[in-house]
Amino acid sequence: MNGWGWVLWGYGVVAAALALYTWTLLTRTRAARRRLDELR
Amino acid sequence: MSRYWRFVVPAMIVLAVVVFLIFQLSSNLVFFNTPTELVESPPGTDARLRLGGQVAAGTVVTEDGGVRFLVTDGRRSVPVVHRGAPQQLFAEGRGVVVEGTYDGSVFHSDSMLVRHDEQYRVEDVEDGVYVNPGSQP
Amino acid sequence: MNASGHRMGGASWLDRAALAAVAGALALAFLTPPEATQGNVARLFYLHVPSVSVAYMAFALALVASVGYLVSRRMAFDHLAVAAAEVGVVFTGFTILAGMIWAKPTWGVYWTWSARLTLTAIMLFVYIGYLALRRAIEDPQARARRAAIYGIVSVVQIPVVHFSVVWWRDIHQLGTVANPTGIQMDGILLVAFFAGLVAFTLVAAALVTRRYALAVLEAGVHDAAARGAGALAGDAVEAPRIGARAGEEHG
Repeated sequence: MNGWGWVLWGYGVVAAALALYTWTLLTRTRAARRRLDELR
Repeated sequence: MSRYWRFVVPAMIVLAVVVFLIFQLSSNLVFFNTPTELVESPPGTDARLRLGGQVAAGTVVTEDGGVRFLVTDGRRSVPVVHRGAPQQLFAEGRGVVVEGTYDGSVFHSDSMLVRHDEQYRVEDVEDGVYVNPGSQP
Repeated sequence: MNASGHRMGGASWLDRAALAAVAGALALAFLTPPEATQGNVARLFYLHVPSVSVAYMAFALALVASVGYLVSRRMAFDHLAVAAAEVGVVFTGFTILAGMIWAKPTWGVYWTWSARLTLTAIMLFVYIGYLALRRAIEDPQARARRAAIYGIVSVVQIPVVHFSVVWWRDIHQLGTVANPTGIQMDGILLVAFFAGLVAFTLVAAALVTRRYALAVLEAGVHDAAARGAGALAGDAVEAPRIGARAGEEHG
């Protein structure tokens, strides 16, 4: 793998990790809001 | 009880990992020995250790299945016989950390890390100005 | 933190600013000239170093929020502390991922047990421990207090992580931007670094904002559930005895 290959691999992995965290954050927020609506 | 286990299980895992990491740290706090240390107080011939320093200019000889060169810290230098292909960034004047044994005169390495310094420069710089428009954005 | 920014489906001005800054930082990271020694692979600098800078900032924010909680006993500080600590864990993860992928083509290995690398891994797990501790404590005030103490104590490791390359011999080189003898980077490359730092700071701020909003929601769920349970218990216990007065409690 050349330099660009490693660069794209590194940025790709971090982008995927960021997307995964953002998704879990939105999912947890949606779940908490639904639970709050049920309780009210 | 479930809340208790929800804490204790992750806490035990985290604690085990941190203890393991601290043991790793204590055995690697001095990551490598310098040529001066190796020459002035040689370890046992079967002790496995790391040697770090600069690849001395003009000493790199590529051999069948490896490479030999001198590692220096400016005061002392140690001849290294490394088995295996050197890293891509391996070059004269670069920093290396080799791992293996020292027989009193030669360091026999089978594992090499190439260091790079903290300087980041563009090629073709004159007086701090980039002068190669061909490869500029 | 305005409420409209937290509503799902809507991107706040901060989200938009973060996205725009990420686009700009990526353009600079990929279009600036290659580095003289390492070539193109040095572009991972603009990912790895801003990640760890933002992780340090997030843990420092968690420290400030923890002190703020202990001083004021306001739950808002606890919400901010957990938001900052969680985002700090995420960015420490980015640091290690980008660092490993950078180490392989330069040093020759993904990982080695040098002081800097090991201490960074310890930092990650200590803050994962912070998040685990919080999950164990039901009572919000007790959780906030104990987490705040943990959040304050755990920050002592951060200068050790940062200065480890100065204090001990390491495969990891010294700091380039935070270097005692001045910045060791050419101007155009430094622009790409600062663009990455601004972009990741904004991304972290957007994530902390949303995680804070989630902490507020979770506190609301806890309160509503406690009220609900109290009301149900009240109905069950008191209704047979003093029928007419049941329900007054939450009225």
